[in-house]
Amino acid sequence: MKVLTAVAALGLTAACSNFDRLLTVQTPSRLAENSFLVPGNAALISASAVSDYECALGGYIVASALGAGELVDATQTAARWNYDRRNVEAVDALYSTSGCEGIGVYTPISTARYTNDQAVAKLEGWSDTEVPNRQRLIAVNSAMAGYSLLLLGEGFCEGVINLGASLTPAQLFDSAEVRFNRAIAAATAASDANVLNLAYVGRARARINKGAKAAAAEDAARVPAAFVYNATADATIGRRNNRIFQQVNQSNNTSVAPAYRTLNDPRVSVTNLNRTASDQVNTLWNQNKYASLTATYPIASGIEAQLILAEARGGNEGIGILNGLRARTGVGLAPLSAQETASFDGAVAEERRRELFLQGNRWFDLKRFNLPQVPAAGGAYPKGGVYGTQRCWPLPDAETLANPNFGR
Amino acid sequence: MLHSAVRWAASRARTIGVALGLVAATLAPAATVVAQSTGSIAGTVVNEKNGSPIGDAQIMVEGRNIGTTSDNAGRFRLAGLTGSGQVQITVRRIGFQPRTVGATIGDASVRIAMSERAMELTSVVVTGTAGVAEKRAIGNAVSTVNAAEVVATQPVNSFQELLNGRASGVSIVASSGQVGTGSRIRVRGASSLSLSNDPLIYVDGVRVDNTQASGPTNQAFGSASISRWNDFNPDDIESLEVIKGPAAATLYGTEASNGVIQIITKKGAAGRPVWNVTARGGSSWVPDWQTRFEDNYGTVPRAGSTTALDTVSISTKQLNDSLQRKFGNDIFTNGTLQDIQMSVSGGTSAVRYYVGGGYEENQGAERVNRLRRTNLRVNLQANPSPKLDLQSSLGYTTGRTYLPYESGGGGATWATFFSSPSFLYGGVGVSSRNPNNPQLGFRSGPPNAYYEAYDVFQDADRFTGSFQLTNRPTSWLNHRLIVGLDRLAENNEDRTPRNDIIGATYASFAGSGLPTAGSIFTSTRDVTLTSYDYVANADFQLSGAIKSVTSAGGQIYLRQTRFRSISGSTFPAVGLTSIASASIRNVGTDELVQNNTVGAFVQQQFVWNDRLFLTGAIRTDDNSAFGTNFDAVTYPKLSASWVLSEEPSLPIPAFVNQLRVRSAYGASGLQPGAFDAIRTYSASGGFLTPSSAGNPDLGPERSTELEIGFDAGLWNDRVGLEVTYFDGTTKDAILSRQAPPSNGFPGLQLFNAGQVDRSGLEWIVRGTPIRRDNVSLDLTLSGSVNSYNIASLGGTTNFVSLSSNVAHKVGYAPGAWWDRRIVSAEYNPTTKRATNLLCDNGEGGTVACASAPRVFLGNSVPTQEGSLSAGLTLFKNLRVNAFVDWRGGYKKLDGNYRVRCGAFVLCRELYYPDEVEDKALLGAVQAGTAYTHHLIHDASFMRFRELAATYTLPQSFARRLGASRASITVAGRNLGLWTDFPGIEPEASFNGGTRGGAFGQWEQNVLPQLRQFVTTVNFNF
Repeated sequence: MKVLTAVAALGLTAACSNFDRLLTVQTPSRLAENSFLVPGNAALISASAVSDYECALGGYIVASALGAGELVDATQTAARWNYDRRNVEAVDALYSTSGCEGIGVYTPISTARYTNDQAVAKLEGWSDTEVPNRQRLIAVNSAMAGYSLLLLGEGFCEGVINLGASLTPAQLFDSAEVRFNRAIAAATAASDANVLNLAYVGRARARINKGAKAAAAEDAARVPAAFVYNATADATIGRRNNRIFQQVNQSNNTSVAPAYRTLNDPRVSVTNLNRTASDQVNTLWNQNKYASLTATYPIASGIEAQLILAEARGGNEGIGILNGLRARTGVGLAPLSAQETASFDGAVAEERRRELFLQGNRWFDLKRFNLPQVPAAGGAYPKGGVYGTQRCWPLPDAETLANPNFGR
Repeated sequence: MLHSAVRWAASRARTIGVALGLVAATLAPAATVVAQSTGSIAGTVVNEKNGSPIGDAQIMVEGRNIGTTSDNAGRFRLAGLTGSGQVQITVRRIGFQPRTVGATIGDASVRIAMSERAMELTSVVVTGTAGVAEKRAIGNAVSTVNAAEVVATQPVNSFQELLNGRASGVSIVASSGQVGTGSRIRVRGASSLSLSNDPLIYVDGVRVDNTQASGPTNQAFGSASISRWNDFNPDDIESLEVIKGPAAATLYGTEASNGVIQIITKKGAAGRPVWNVTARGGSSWVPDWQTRFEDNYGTVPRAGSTTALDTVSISTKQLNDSLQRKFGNDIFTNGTLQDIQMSVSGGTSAVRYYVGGGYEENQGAERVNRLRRTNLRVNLQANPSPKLDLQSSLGYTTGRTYLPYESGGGGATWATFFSSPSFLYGGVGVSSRNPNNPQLGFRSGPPNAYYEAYDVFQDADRFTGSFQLTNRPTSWLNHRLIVGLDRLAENNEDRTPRNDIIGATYASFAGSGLPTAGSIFTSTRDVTLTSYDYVANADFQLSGAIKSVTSAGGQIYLRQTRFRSISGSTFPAVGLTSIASASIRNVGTDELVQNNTVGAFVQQQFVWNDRLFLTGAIRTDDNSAFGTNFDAVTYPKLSASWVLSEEPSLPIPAFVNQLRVRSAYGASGLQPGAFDAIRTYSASGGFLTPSSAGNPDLGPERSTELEIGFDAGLWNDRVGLEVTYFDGTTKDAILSRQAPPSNGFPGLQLFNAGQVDRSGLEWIVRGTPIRRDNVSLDLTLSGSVNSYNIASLGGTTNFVSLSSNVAHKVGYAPGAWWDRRIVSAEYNPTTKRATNLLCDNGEGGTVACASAPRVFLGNSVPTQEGSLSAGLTLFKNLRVNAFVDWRGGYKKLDGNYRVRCGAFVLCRELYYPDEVEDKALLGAVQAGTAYTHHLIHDASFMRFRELAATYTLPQSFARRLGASRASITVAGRNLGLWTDFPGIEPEASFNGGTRGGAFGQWEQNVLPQLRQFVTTVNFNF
């Protein structure tokens, strides 16, 4: 028995000497920040931040399409209806704290802005020796931070950066422009034309959003019409799915809205499934713009640049640019008629509606051009309640209740 | 039905019996010889109350040095008696009043019935130190549930049913009436603001995983999680001990502030093998389901008109009639229970064994809701030498639970509760009065469509084993080592097989692909909890009156949980349901969570004349989840127990035969989650994204509590009384706040900030007002009240919002209901809408609702609970038990009304607003889901939980069956309900997720509790 006691005592002594090791745990699916943010991971840090933006953009495209009347919600999930009904409230969790897979917007956009800003800050602190292609990475992440701020300013009535005070959309666009400036400088230094164009389109969009047409035109004119910078997608990782295909064609959670079903325009290709959606209200119409879960979707394009250029230049030059886009290979539409160009802004908005269908632009265009909402505000929402007048989403409680600048 | 149940039981019993027999044959020593007539006395010791056998009773022959103990069948044999004629036999057993009876030498059928004591201070309970301690020696209250007795006579088929209402201060928060679903267990309310409020569980001294099951995921919003509590088979449990609050749980360390529940399983007693066979058969159903649910309203096109609409309603009965015509079945069915349990126990004084096993099939009130479970337990005790005890305790359970869709996921309740006349006709917005809709008025589709479309289940395998070595190397020292392992594997499958027909018939089932090409989601959770627990006790007699007991020990708990999930969709052909055959496959979670604790304690107790016990202890713990800036935590404990009734100098009234006062002060804690302290990124598809904001300063919550109380035995222990008052504080309470998204990290961030004060009173009164030869009545009244108050939320704020209507606020109970409240409205008879809504401004006045503050609407956690049980014994062989329990002092949200009115526009108020006298209510209803104050109601209830009659068959009849004892019990469960809650079921709620869990219970699309009748037959061989 003494032996037994001795063995027990020895075992406990050994265990005591290894307490620290006992308290060290593995986290194979998570990486602590100090292990992640090191120069050796620079390319991963940069690519991960881009991936954050791609995911945020996917969720934003669907959510904003519901508000803008490009899509209609086809589910019985009442929490989703507020996008569709244009009455998102600050307390709502879906738009404020849900991830991009659940078509949340505020948190994914904020995360993308943060990680891209963080990537730039880290990259700027490291040397070219430590990080190959450092300037290119800085350019890409600066641009993605800029685009994140564009979505924040376009989608929301006000926004916040890094626990700061409330910023107006114009201030957010200013902040975006600062990021695009940094991107342009870095892309120029890296001699990367593709990223340079990405940054020019972004800066042009920030400027046109603020009404700075001449400056917007200056940037837009630099971008070739054939340029496109795509977000990538993957079928096997839910977070990296093409969210539009997943939400419209795969899950049938949304359907193309009536206003887009019979345009007879190759830029707005849709298919009638001839089936009632699970909400028993809507008929299911699929979009054909994105063909699979792996389909890429544009972050920026020369077509968008041309539309900005047309809007900025206006007049006959503007009409000419729009007609040039209509006549391009694969579209082959006749020039706009006199009736269609009677209102230049109306023509630009209409061409943007079709060219940029399901790219996340229409929600802010409704506000920017003060376009009529479809369906009209006050009309009965078929699943209960009435359509609201909302043209931007409120800053969510999730931010204001936790941010000391608000004291709410 | 009973006949078929018995036949089923017999066939199962044969299978299990063979298995147990093999095990028993291996383990059992040679059976002892049955009593002979000359020179011996044999018989049985039974409980006077219900005739159940009493094992381990000491039987002594007065005046002679001859004695023995009874086996698990209550049997005993006194041998070596010389002479003839009468002798006096005295029987003693803890918990019972001693009994002396006369017996004749040679008599082989002496029956000695013992009366339970209403108060027993010498009964032993498990503590954190080595071995067990007498109740009188500890300064805190311990609630004990005599599980073996309850299971033998009451309709108890799960752990939660066993515990419900039987331990003061313990609340069982039920969720759904679906078979296999679980409950939340709260000991002395909920004191943690953000962490789990689940108590720790120990099985035979070994800590086991106490978390909820991981799935399946068809229960959106987390309504009916499968409870892991029910892995422990009530038939294998001897007793439960509930240790409540930090003062009592200090020695259990960081994790124990929610209390500790000890499960003590059955052990063998020396004697020949005792076989026990129990078979149960029963039926269950949803009471009054055809009239219980509200009618729903809607508009349909008027016949012959293209514009006019008619308002029509639809009732459950109409729905059911349609279902009967189309499919030939009802919405809900009668469930069936079939359960067979067998055990064998026995051994010698050196080796004893208990081997038990069983098989259960339980079918719920929804056709696809069923479970089957097999369980096995092998407990061994050996005493190879007077200085060494060895004990192993091995339990295994395996089974599958099928859960239908519910809550946010849909299902039969969804289809029925939220039916609409619109779904009888052409559908919403379709101008047709032709009643051709295949949904038959049900939302989404008739229940049969759900049953056909989905196949959702969980497989669970759990092994809980421990090995305990106790050594007494000297007369003053004993020490023990327990090594334990709890291993759990859950596999959840949510299958939607490809079904082109159902997809084409019902729009809601036309999911992925064209149409309904099928999908599968599978997730697993594997938990391994390894524990090492070493404790030594040293006893010293310091003087004639004073004894010292010193204890010291250390524990290591290593917990590892792995979550994995994968999904697939679009099967190329009907019949394929594997992930490999899906056209689209998605990798979900692969998460490993490790959490380790290392702790040690020292305790010193001084005992004066075996009636005054003073104890002091200190415990320290370190945990892998503590922040890098946080060191180990230390918890103190002090307690005193004084048995006044044994104090000769005190003038105690004669009717008070036992009186003890006790007090305890102590601290324990609650540790944060594994990733709460560190800022982490998680990988997805080759990229990393922010995962947890972390907090390097994070430490455990620290709860301290003072508990005082007394125990009294009155009128020769015919009345027992235990009263406990507690008062405590949780400091450094961990608060969960939404990490501000602008800071980059999603999700919640925890920080130590709050302080929660609590107090409460618990009582239990037992009595036997009638005790005569042929009739006795015993009553037990237990209950508790508690009060919780947030004293601080960290200084910078006094309000932390958990959701749009649940919040923590200084000065109020944690997790209370807070929302805007409409107090008045005007009514426009033309538009038929409530207008000019004015809300409570929180200061006694009103304000426009658009700018109104959230005001206090009520507590969301019960503040009082209790139960009354009554047992009537007639003619020593008929026992009738009745059990009523209640819970109150809290409010619950009626989510069914919210969905019917706010989301789906189905309630009568919206179609006949003139009828609604309360225009403020009308305003809330017409505002959709913007307000919730009108949904939050007092959910207090009292339930006639159990009524059971047990008849012990005459022994002559039992012997003809080859049994030593036979009984039959007929019992009913959930027989009556008294409540003012206007929803469907006060006990229906979400067990977790955003609409339940710790605070703010919702009822939404959850099956009510089932009424059940069970017949049980029990044989001892």
